[in-house]
Amino acid sequence: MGRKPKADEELVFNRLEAIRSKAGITRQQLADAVDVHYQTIGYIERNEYSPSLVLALRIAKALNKKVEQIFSLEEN
Amino acid sequence: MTKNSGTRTPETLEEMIELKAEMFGNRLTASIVRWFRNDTFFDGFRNTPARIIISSLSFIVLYGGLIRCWITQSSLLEYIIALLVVLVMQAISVRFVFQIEGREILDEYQSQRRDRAYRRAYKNIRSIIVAGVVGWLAYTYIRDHADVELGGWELLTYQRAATIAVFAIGLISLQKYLAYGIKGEPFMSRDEVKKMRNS
Repeated sequence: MGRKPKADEELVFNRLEAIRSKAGITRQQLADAVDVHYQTIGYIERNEYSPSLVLALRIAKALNKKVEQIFSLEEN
Repeated sequence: MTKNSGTRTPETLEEMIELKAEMFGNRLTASIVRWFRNDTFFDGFRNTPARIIISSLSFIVLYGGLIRCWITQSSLLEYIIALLVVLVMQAISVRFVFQIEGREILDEYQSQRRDRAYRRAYKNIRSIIVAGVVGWLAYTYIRDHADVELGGWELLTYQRAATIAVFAIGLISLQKYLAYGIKGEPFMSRDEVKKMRNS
């Protein structure tokens, strides 16, 4: 954990940092909204950790977006 | 002594004293553990550079102590004390991760990291045991087939057997902390952040 994903692992890309910044929300505020530690938000934003489906849905709800607007299998 | 819903009711003076002593002991232990876990004085143990130092030190103590005690056939007490010191340092460094009462504090990232540490620890212990058995088989094969003067079971003195036992206990106790990795734990748990904001 907290490491770079291996080449053979399926990566989940995200636009979380851009969307969060645009919404004017800090990592801590988002972390509080989805009940995780703020460092976990940082790991997700840096693609060092792929969140569970539940957490992805919670993040999408907190940012008022659809999951696929934030997370994708292809890098945009 | 009777049991009532899991709590003891003292019937004699001795039982009352015993119960009071036990409660005092539990309270003392709990307050020491709480101090180690929550005092900001120990935050220095929880960052990444500290974890690198503590993990390196644990590795050196565990294997260096084994080699030293095996060769000198002494210093076993120092080995045990050194192992206890690094174990306490590791426990301070990784506060909540391996504690049952800390599980609700962890989020899914931290829980996954903990589970990965357990898997790695299991694999590491298995590899070390396999390496030890293979090494011993290779040693006995060379001793029996090559024209080399090597010792047998007489090498395994009482002192060395005790050293191996201490090493095995140290290995199992430390492995989860070593497998946890060097990335530091957050200085503050989610609960602590919330408490700080509400205060």
